[in-house]
Order: sequence, then structure tokens, then C-alpha cells
Amino acid sequence: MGLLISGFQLIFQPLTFMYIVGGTVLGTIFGALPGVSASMSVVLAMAFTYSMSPLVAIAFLVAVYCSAITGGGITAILFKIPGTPSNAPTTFDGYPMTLRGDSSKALGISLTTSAIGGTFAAISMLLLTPQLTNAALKFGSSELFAISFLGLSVLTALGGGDVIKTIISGLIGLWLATIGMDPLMGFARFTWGNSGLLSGIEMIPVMIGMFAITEVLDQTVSHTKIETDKTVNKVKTKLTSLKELWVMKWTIIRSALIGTGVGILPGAGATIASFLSYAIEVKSSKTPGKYGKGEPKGVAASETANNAATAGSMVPLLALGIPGGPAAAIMMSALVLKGVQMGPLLLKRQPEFLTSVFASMIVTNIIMVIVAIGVAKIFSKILATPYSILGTVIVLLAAIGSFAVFSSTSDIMLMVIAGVLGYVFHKLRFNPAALVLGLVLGEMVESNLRRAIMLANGNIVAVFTKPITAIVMIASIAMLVWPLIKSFIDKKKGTVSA
Amino acid sequence: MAIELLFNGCMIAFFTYCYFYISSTAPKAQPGTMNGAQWPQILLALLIFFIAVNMYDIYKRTPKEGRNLSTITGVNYKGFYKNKLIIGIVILFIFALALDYIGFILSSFLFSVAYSRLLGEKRISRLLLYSFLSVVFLYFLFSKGLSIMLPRGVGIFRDFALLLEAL
Repeated sequence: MGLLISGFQLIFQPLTFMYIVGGTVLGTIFGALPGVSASMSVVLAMAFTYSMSPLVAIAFLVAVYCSAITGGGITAILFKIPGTPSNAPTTFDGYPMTLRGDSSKALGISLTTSAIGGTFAAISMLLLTPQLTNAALKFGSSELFAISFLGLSVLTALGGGDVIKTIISGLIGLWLATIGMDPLMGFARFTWGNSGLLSGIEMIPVMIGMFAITEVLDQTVSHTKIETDKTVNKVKTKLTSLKELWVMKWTIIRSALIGTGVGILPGAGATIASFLSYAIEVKSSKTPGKYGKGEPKGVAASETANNAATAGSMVPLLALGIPGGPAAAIMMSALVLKGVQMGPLLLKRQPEFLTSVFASMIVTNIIMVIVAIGVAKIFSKILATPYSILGTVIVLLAAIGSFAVFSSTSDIMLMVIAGVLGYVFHKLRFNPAALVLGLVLGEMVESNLRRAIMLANGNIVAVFTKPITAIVMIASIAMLVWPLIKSFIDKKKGTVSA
Repeated sequence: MAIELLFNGCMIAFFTYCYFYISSTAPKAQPGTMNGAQWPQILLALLIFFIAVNMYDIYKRTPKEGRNLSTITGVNYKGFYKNKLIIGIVILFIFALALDYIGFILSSFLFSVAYSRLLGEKRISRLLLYSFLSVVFLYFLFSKGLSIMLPRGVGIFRDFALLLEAL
């Protein structure tokens, strides 16, 4: 409790508080702009930190980071363009809700559950960081491989029926992640002499293409009118009522715990957290068929988890000096520039870093709801625009988003190719979301597996018999295989009853 | 059915080629390590297996009377150039290619006009006005507001973009 109070004392100093409010506004707007990822938002905000003290700077950057993740949910719901990769699962149910005229409700759920997930994780992390540091130190390559494999077990929950096609899509994503330089031996794989492929297939253009461009192509052929009567004329983001939250209580609790837990693991982050949480929600539901068609719990699962993961991702940074992801790495460089020595001794010597970061997160998660309502209102108005204009604006935003990552026009070409492939996948009932998940996790799965085998001198059995690895792998395989067995049993039952 | 089988067949052929290609280009593994080719080969082997299962599944699911090539042979190839989807894809590819040469402003404006027309906007004045406004808004938002330098093009297009950036 003392830690929390000292954190709030730091945060509520007028200038610091003002910076946090400013950071929240900037982060929400950046996050809502397609292609401006959470880490890019932190980069863009870094320019403001040069005159700040290290404590104020980290509190400000944390505010930008948390609110960017929430802002990304706005475009995921309204336009099927995930603002950040971790908002991709939000599109599965958020966009269908928009199509049927329930965007206000979807936005309300997204904002409320984001705030709950973020606040829950920030408080938990503030209290548990020192203990978690010791636990996180026990995670080696084999355990990280098992965790990333657990992320892959999500695949079969994204199927919506056809498990084989979903597995094929996921495997294609994993294979795409192997294109480029080998992560350990440094030789070119599947580049066919093309130097443009050496750096690998970029995730963001593929993701934008698979979701946004595919949708525009689909609308070009068969235009589905978006129900604007509820969304545009009464653009009130309806905050979720306590009664609605009570109905979703287990979804929120599960997702907050998953998000926090996954966020702590270095390299895992908000994207795996949101996919995993969504999948577990589908698998634990009595009505899995409703997911992907506008089920509010789907939005809640994804948005609670990705915001909870933001707090978790700060643990390795503060406790060990290891950035848990790109955004944390940028924050770390901002602190190093200011002469702060990162590492395990930071929290012993300057515990105020811990308190200011998590107190800033708690405050940001509350302010963010108000700010995001305003931003969502502006973005919802855009829905009133005829699709003949809106469709082209979506493509232009998607192109800028793909280009902005590395200032490369070849990424725009990649986005278009991914969009066309996504359309073919959509028509032949393959699964673009599974492909994106494979691409996101591919590098992490491969490098951790190979590193673990190398450390065990080639003894694969030793890799998989470590206690944590073994437990996580058994859970993953059970999650991956069960839908296959279930679909086989269902087919058999169908044959018998027929 | 035939189109689906054809697509899956092409995937099997491509991934089989990739399976042998990677083993011919990867250096030999050190003892006690996993070769850089082995992981992709595991994935490719699984892919080939599951695609084959999928093809069998498609064949089995299709009623006997549907097991023919009519979905390929019955396609009206002459109508391809009028197909909205094909036109849309062509416009997207031209836009992606043109960015390097004529820069963001002109290529986006031309793209907006063409694609809005394809999506059904018939009024020319509205088409031009909305395209102009959206391109200018996005250009200034990202280029000036967020310092993301958008493609400038070459020659006079580059000079024009530099002039705008200097404003």
C-alpha cells in the first residue's frame, strides 16, 4: 500500500499529471491511426521527453504505450484495421458488431475492459514485481519455446469449423517467418537471390493486407451496407453497464490473468496475450459458434488481455533491465539516454521507478476511457462517409501504415500481395488470422527451440523433460489436438445418426 | 471443387519444391545443433501432409455429380477485364508500383479517383473533391504532423514533394 501511495504522490504532481494526460491523448490518437503501432507511438512521443526528468519521462512514455494499445481497438472495431498487432483478435467480433450497427456497444466494451485489464495488471505488478523477477529468471530457451508453442495452440480455436484449413494457414504463417536470414547461423533462406527478402517478411504489412485490403476487395465485389443508423447519428460510445460487465465477469478475469502472465515473459507481449485469451474464451464457451460473428465477449477477451499485457511487459524491463518487447526497448533507450543505469539493481537503488511506472499506468487507464470516447466519436463519424470514399481512404491509410515501419514502398507491395492472398484465403475458407499468428510467433518458436537444443548438446529429450516445459507442452498439445479429435467424434456421430 | 483442388495442388507443388530447395542451400549443421534447414523442412513436411488431407477431404465432400472440371472450364475468361475484383486488384498493384516513381501525392490522388469510381461513385466533381481532400489531409497529417516522410517519387515529382515538405 505504501508503494502505491508513494507512486500516486509522484504522479499527481501537477506537471507530471499534465504530461500523463498529454501522453494519453497522443497515445490514443497514434494508436487509432492504422500502421502507427504502439512501439512507433512511443518513438514519436520520445521527442517530447528530452526536457523531462527520467521519472516523468518514463511515466509519460508508459501513458503513451498503454493508450496506444487501446486506441488501436477503435479502428479494429470500426474499419477492421487493427491499429496495433495486438488488436487483431478484436476485429473478429468487433467488426461484425459494427456491420450490424452495434459499434457503440463494441467500443464501450473495448474501452471499459481495456481499462479494467490495464488497471488490474498494473496493481498486480506493483505488488508482485520483486517476486516475479526471481520466477522470470528461471525461464530459459526451452520454457520460452513452450510458451510460444502454447501461443500456437490458439490456432485450432481460430478455425470457425475447418480445423485442417486453419492448421494449413498457421503452418504457412510459420513458414513465411522462416524467410530471410537464419536467426542463428546467418544464411539466407528462401530468398532466391532477392536482397529485399533478406530481412524477412514484415508482419505489419501482411497483417494490414490480410485484414484491411481483403475487406476492401470483398466490399468491392459484394458491398455490405454498414448499419450506420445506430452508430453515426447517435455517436455515443456506450460505456458497458455493471450488469453487462457482470455477465462477462469470467471472461474479464480470465483475460486479465492471461494478459498479465503472458506480458511478463520477455518477447511474448500483448499480441500473444490477446490471441491466447481470445482462443481460450472460444474454447471455454458453451456457444463457440457465436464467436467471429459479433460476440461481445470476444471483444472483451482480446482488449482486456492486451492492456493487461502492457503492465506485465514492464516487469522484465524494470526488474532485469531486459526489454520485454519493442516498446519497452524504446523506453529503455530513453532512460539510458538520460543516464539511468538499467539492470537488476535499479529497483533496489531507485524503487520510485517501479512506483511511478505502475501508478502512471493506473491513472492512464482511467483517463484513457474519457479520451478514447472523444477519439472514437471522431472516428465513428467517418463511418457516415459513403463506402466509395471510405474504401479508398482505408487503402491509403493501410498503405501509409505499411510504409511507415521501414519507409519502404516494397512493404506496400507486400501489403497488396497479402491482401489478394487474404481474399483467396477468405473465399476458399482458409484462415488469414491463423496465418498472421504463425507469422507473429514463427521467429520466437524457432529460435528458442534451436537455442534450447544447442544448450542441451542436441539432446531433444532433455529439452522437453524440464518440468515447466513439459507441463506447458502437454497443455499446448491438448489444446491443439482436442478440436481435431472433437471434429472427428462429431463426424462419427453425424454418420451414425444419419 | 476443381478450383479448390487446383489451388491446393499448386501449394503442394510449391512447398515440395521449397522442401528440396532449402536442403540444397543450407550449410551443414554442427554436432548438437539444429540445422537452419531442419525447422522449415519440418513445417513444409507438415504442410504437404495437411494439404494432401485437405484435398482428399474436398474430394470426399463433393457430391459425385460435382466432381468435374466445369468450375474451371465454365469460367467466362472474356469477361475478366470487366470483373470488379480483377480491376480492383490491378488498380492496387499499379498504385503500389507507381508510388516509387510519381510519389505519394499524385499516385494516391489517381488511385482514389479510380478506386472510388470502381466502388460506385459516379459524380465526377465529388470524386475529384473527396480524393483531393483526403490525400491532402493524410499527407499533412503524416508528413507534417508525425514526420513520416511519404514516398516522393523521382524528377519533378520529387522536387514538388520537397517543395511541399519545406512549406
